[in-house]
Amino acid sequence: MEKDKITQSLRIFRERRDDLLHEDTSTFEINLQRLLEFCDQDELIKPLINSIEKIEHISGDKWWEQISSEREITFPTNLDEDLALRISILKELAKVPTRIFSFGFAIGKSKGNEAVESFRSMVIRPLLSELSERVSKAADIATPEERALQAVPLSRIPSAKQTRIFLSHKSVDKPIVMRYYNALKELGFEPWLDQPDMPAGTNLERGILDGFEKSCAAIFFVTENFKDENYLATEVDYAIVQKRKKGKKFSIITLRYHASSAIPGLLNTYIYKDVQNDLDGLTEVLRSLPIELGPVRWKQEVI
Amino acid sequence: MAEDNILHFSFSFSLDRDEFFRRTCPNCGRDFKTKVDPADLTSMLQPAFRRIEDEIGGISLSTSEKEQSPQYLSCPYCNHRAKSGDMLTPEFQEYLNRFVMREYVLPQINSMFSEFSDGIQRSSRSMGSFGIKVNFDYDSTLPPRPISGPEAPDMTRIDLLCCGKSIKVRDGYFALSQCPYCGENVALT
Repeated sequence: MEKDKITQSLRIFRERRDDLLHEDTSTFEINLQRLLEFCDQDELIKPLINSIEKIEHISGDKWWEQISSEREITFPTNLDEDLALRISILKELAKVPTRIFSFGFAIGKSKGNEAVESFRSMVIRPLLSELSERVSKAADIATPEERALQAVPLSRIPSAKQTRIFLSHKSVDKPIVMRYYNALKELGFEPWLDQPDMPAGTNLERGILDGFEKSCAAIFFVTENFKDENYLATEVDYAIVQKRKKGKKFSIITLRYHASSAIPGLLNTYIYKDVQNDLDGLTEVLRSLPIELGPVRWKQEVI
Repeated sequence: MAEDNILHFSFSFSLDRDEFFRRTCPNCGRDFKTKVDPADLTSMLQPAFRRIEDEIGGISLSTSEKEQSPQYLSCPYCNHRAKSGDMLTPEFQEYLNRFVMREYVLPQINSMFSEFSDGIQRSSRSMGSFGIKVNFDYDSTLPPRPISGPEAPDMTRIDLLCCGKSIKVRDGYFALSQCPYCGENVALT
């Protein structure tokens, strides 16, 4: 069943139930008919009623006869039998509405409206209360759970020009850095690397500066090849400037691949991590980044 | 159960399977749902009880909890801001009315008539040769207790990262721009 249809079923069920329970007693007969008709036709409710009515040896007609002859009102102790009997009682009453008076006599209410009011409380309400519970469960089962959306405060959403991750390295270490580049890309981040991000002809200094301006982190790969000189020294300086400018929204992440390698003096004041392998390093990067990725979702191609 | 002029009764209402409570914006009339926190239950119900007091008159239905400062909510569709207790569905308000009538107002009326009747009967016995007969024709049968729900498991859930709360809005509605609780500007992801 479609979600909208279920919602509509529940709405009509509530309306007809409440009309029967609470509307003026003069409208009792018509409201009883309307509820029974609805229960007999609705896709959500009908199977529930049918499963209750499967119980044999239950006769609303006999119950009414017993009311007339013995003036005794009894119900089975078994819940399902009780519900089945109450449904049958209502169906019999819908066929012969004057039977409500025998109920009134049985409980000492001579007026029709008092008999109806008592009948509603004693016979109908327990049935509709339990039926409401069961209908609610049936509606839950019939509709799949859905993932939640997230409302993210705008202050937590960076612009695309702020979220690059600058990968600073010595050219000779490119194979290591490419592994990080690919892993970060695959995860959904936007790493910045000189080769793909600086088209031929770009002024090197300006290109690097632009890369830092667009970044929220700089990762320094300190291997035995790393030397704090030339462009690498410039990148360390730029990273410090960005850190001062952006504060918590910029991380300086230093990964030392060899314990004997010297950390550049300016980076010493920032936390660095000795890594045994790339996985160690990637874990440290993800932990230190000032940005995080969105909620889990199915990939487009598996839908 | 009455005790020292304070009436205690328990009150229950239906939530959906994710424990969300349906509301209606009094401004645009559209439905949304909020999580029910027991802490703000009183704040939610106080205005509703007060409205019933005003409608019926002459009774006091204030909750036994200390008067709490009202919680405010904004409609996720039109941003209309109102007390959370003023954002109830007409159906729920009807349920509240029926509940209060059934549990408080009608028993009070019945008790009043009953005492009045007793008083007259005693008076008539003490009148000596003057016998009077008074017939009271009132219906002491109480209506059935109202039933709340069942609540449909409909709408799309939105987790509000600004204040850690959640709401539900109509399916396909993606234009939420402000947190209904704290007013922070947000974007859906």
